[in-house]
Amino acid sequence: MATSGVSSSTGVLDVNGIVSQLMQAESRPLANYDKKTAAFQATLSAYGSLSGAIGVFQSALGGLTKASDFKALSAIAGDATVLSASAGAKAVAGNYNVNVQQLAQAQTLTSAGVASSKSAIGLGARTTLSFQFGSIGSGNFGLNGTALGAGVLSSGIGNGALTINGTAIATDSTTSSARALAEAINAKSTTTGVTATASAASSSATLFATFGDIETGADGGYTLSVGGVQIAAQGAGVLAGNGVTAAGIDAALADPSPVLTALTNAGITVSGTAAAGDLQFTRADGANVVVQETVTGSPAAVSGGIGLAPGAANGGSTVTAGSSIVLSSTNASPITVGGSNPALAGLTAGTGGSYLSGAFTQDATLASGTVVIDSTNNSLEGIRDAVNKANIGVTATIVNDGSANPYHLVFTATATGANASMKISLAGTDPDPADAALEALLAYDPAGAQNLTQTSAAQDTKLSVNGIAVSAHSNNVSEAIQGVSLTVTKVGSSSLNISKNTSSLKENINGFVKAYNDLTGTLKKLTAYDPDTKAAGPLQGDATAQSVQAQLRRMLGTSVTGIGGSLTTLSQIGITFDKTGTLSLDSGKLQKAIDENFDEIGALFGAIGNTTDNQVSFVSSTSATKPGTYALSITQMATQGALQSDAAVAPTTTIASDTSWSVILNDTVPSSSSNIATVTIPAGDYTPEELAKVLQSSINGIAAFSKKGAAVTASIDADGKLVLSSSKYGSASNIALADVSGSTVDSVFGAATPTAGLDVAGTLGGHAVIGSGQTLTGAAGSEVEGLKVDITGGTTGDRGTVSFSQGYAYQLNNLATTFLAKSGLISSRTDGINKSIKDIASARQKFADKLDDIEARYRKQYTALDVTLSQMQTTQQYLSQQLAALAANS
Amino acid sequence: MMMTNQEVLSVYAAMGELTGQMVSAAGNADWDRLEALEQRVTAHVEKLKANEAAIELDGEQRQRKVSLIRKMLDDDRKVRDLTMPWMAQLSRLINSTGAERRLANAYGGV
Repeated sequence: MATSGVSSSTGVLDVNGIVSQLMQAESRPLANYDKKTAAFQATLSAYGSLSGAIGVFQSALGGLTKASDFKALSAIAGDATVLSASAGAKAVAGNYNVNVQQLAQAQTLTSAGVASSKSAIGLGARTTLSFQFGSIGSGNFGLNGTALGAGVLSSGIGNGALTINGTAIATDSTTSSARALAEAINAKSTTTGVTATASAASSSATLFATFGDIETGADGGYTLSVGGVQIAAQGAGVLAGNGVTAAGIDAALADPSPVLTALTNAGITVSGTAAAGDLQFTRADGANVVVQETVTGSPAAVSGGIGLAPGAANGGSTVTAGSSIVLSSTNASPITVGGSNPALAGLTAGTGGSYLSGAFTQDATLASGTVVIDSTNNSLEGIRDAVNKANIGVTATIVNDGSANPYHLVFTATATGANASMKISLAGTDPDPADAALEALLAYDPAGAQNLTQTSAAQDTKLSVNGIAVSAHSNNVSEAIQGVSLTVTKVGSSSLNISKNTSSLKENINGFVKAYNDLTGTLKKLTAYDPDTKAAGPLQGDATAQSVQAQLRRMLGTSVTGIGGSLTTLSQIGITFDKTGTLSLDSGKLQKAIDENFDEIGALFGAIGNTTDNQVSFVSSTSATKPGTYALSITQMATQGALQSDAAVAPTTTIASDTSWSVILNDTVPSSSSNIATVTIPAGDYTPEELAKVLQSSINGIAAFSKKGAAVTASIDADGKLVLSSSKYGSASNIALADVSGSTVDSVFGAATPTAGLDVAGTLGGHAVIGSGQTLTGAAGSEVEGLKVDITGGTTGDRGTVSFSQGYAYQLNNLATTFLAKSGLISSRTDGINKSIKDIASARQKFADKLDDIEARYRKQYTALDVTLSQMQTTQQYLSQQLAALAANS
Repeated sequence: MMMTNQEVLSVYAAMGELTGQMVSAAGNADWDRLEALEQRVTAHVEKLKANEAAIELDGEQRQRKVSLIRKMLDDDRKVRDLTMPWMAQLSRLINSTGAERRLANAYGGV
């Protein structure tokens, strides 16, 4: 209370003292208000403790609300350096032997060296660089050797002439054929990682272009042999035409014949005819083919023969045909050729290799992408930055190897796996071609020009599980064993033990018991009377706290229904209430339940949903969903928005250079620019299947779409029509294309009209549902409220049933949520208390205001009285003086 | 301005009238009226202080003045007597509520 400004020092009364002490009496009810407020606040803080305890309870239950949490399996690898594993709900306990033969790897391509990483490459013509990903079929990675020289065919290759990947190949004078050389190289394959194949050796196709009829003199003789097999022979004194002739040779080689059999046995095949002049002998294994004419007798006793006109003297001949070898790297790595004279083996010193007759098949599941290089960025650094910025599944770096032209651009695919090999094609802006210098530096097609060098091949993880071969695109291999995810880290073998994780189950159950007991412990403390301290808990007799306690107890006393397993109550697994209302766990009983009903324990605690149709899957439920079994009836299947070409796609479709289309994917009403993007389609001639793949990969490479999970699939349907569809289902799924540049949309799709997707529709247990895409959700207010199922396939009609049950942890968690909800039991109570506190505060304020008025009135009165009394004093003194004066004078 | 004898006596008479009314105001605990009356009395006293010394009253007039002064002193005592029980009551109030006031101060306003 304010103090008075009136001075009372001269007065007879201490006004301030009197007023303030008087006001103390008047303000006595204020203390009552404060007492009441303090009591409410104590209750409020007790509710705070209760809310906190329920919150702790709820978070302890949070990890126990899924039935699968209780079916945990542990996966233990025998050799953790080889692999690690985790087992999901679908895994099956057992022992597995895993043998890892190969780890997945991403492809790396390196450009030729460039003098500067900053200076321009080419003339700056606008060039679109397209990166596509796919697998390389049937192509060996290696080197083609040239034909072995004549000197080698006669005297072999001296030792030390050849090394491969640093390993000396043992060669000597007998290494005189491609076959022998290949055998020598293959003898070191395990060290070098390189195998050699000898090409077939063939005699010249023109060797028999001229063959004069053989004439022999009186002492002459002639034999023709191939690879030691005698083909024809003529004795002495035979006139031309009567002995060995081209036709005669052909007759001897006509099937069946002993000569042909002998040649076949020697590994020699015959093609062409001597008569036609194209007779040729071939040894597929690359051994040398020796065609030999042997003449006997005096000089010129024999005339005619190979390369000779009739009558021309034949002194005999020997023609040795050799071949070449092809080196293949077993892991598609570059091969280093060295040695003192590798040219003898038909090889050139140095490191290299490429796909030999490879074929590229695009993988439509891997998004492709394009980068535009022009005069603003046509340097190594510019290309590097453009590629990295485009984020198209390729990382570009520049390495400096310190040589004369030190800078190399290195492209590494982001994805590992044999399906993620790169194909890099360049296109100009129609009609201009791509920049020639960029083309020469960067073009890479496993089936064609390989201007980049592969320094690391794209490869899959290869492993076997109990002897069954499995391959995967990455080192994270899932479903090689059902429900198990493997992460392989090293080549080698390891056992893998998948077993029931009973310790995690027990931990969960103990966690449940503890969470419940902690909460009821707090409730007890808040509501009970303590006979020792003689203090009542702040919520003793409180209806809300009692209701919380009763609801918890009631829930645990009700059995779990819905799925119909053999476990429906907590006591079946050894959890019971003791006298004090505390849960206790009988570990023997729990162990028995684990032994007998391991898979069902989860349903006692978590929510679980089953469907009878394997193309219907349970997704989730809410606290409003009632347990039970509900029949599912589908009246409309979800479809995807699609664009189908109006006619079958031509056998070859040409996409012109610089073809871009605008793609409108899953657009909304009103249209949003975020659903529209431009796609660049790599130029080329495509078969229908290739066209579908290139479209799918190109559109899925659009970052604006992939960022929000939008994607398309493209396929050729049974009628040969191209179908481009959004991967999303439902009314929000749609796709349309529009021309931007290059080839038109019409040139591929004709007059096609897009169709929008449909949402799934039907009923669940006869109740209304809301369809969105492939997902049905039970409508609010029904038994199936919030029950969510996905219908991923099948047809309309009756689709079996959906069963759903809620275990104790799930129900308690929901109960706790309702307790703590904004309009829940506790907050409606605390809201009420807070309102009372507010009401008291305002009543107190009103009273205090009134006190102020009273004080002001008192103060005014007392001040006035003070003055009055002091003046009365003055008056009295004056009157007394007057009286005294009168008495003195009388 | 000089006062006449008659004027002095009528001032005393007016004051006597006022102090009588003060007794009645104090009896009714009408403190506002008491104050107003006292101010009027004081005004009269001021007037007398300025003039009365030069006035000589005769015997009857002196008698009249003495009786008026006695009445006023009597009224003054009555007014004081009327305030004393009220002051005593106030004093009791102060003594008995000190403890409660301290409690109220401890909780303060809400």
